[in-house]
Amino acid sequence: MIYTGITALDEMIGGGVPAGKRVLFSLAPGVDGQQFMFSTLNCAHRMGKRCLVIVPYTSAEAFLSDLSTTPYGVEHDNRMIILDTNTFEEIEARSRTPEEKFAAWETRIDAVYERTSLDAVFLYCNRLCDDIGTEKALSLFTEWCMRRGATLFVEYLNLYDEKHLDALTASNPFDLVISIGEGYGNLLFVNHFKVRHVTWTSLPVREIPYVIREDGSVSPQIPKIVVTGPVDAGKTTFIQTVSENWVSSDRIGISGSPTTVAMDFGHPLVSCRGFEITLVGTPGQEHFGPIINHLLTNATGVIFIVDGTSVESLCRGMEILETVRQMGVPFVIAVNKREMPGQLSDATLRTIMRLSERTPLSHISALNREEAMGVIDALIVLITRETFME
Amino acid sequence: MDPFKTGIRKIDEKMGGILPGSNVLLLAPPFADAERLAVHLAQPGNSDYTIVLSADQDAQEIAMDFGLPESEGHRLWIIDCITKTMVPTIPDGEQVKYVGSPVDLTGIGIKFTKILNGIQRTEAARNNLPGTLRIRVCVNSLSSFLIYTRLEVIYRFFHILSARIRRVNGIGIYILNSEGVDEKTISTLKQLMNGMIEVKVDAADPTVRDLCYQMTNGESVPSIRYRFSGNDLAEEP
Repeated sequence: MIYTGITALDEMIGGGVPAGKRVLFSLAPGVDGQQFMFSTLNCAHRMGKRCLVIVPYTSAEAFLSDLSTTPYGVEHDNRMIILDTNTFEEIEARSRTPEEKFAAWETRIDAVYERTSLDAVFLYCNRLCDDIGTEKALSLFTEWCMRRGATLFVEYLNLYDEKHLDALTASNPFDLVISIGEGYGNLLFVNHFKVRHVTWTSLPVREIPYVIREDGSVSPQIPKIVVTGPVDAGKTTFIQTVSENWVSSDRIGISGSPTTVAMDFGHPLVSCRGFEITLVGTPGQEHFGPIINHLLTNATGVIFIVDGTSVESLCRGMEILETVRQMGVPFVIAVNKREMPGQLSDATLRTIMRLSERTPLSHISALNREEAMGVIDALIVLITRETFME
Repeated sequence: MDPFKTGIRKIDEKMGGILPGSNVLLLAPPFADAERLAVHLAQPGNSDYTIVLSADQDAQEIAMDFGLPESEGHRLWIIDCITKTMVPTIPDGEQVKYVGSPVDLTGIGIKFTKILNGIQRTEAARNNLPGTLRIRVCVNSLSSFLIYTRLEVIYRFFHILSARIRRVNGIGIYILNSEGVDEKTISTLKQLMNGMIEVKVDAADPTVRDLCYQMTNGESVPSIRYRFSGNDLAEEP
């Protein structure tokens, strides 16, 4: 197993990349996504793997220098062999036809392998694709790695569209194909990655947003989890319990207790399953309906909180739940006030809310951080791994 | 959005300058001072920014050619594709980004995005009101990129880059040596453009150049004779 080092991605693919698999990172032009390969190389090296890195577009020194400006820098020791632009130009000078170049590259990597057996090959393939043809270049390495049992990681700048990527992967046996692209829905300031194909686990094809932090590391995001539900269900308490920083818009209501009148906002104390999360809380009172609908727009997921001791509260929230359903957003149910007497049974709750058995439902106390984080965890699994939206 | 002034009187008077969203091929034979003309066209105005993508000159030479005063230095941003081949460990600066070589199209695309973000940050830091940025992009030169990479790939890459320039309502100036490539290459690359400036050297006086500016919408400015005096372009009467 080799980890990609991007926790959210590793979690999604079942821990990491099993030995001997072939991975393709396809980058859209202009998208800051080289960190996926950098991070994987860094992990492989730290795990003690022997790595061959092929960077035909630059010198080994420049490549390592670029790597060192990110958190994924690696030391050029005897477990790391780099074939750089010098090797490319040497082969280019000696070989005339693509066939000769293909053979020369094969001889070259065989020679490396004879000196040091390899666990993983990291290939920056565009210059080779340009030189000997995309299919040939990729088949050279996929077949070589298959014969030698090495894990292959390829970074490919896709100047075409996703159909091109489909055609490329149809003719080359990759076990994991990740496309990295620009924007995420209406959010243009984040990019996304998408696991398009994986052979060793089952995953829906879904865009996962990420940003590159100031230090150059990849930070997968769940940009908007909306916490909603009927009034007095415990939405604001839930956000305050799990958040490091939060802003509340509570005001004293007619009943004399605080109630949310606009929007609550919070960042959880820790990232969950490798994701940075932003929580947005809605008011619960019916006359805030238009605000609730507005806040639900572009939600990545919804936590629907109800008071588990009150049928009346459940009925009041049905309109909001119906809106969530119509939006097709993944949602989980948090049944709050677990510590109070008179809890409704799961069967009653599911009947009243017309929930299928597949909809996650947890009984929690919104004051208990662990239980509240469990709800977020269930939602993230639903967003990233389940086929809810399909 | 106002057209981008070229500093060439006949073009600015007749067409107002280069229209935002234009990509212009600057086709010139060797020794026709195409680089100087490109620098002239890409000079940032009072509210413009210039991005130079260079596979021919290093960042220092480019900065010298533009000769901006220190107070205007924030208007020039550079992607230098050659220095890293000689100084592999050179780090990126705020306004100068380096890529491994002219074949590193992945790196060029990423650095271009970073520069666009950097320009937006600069505008915000200078307390300028939010609005559309005015960006001039100068590619020096397509001929050099074609030395390293196949035409089909270059076409695809610059197809995407030119579309980005159109999207931000900027202008792109792309230098191409007319004698270094065949007709097929020129006609392929022309498909990316909506304007062309063709430069010829005067047979009688090799210090005089003759340019013709043509847009795909049919507008044109034929035959402007000029010469360079230092970095200044002087139009002949």
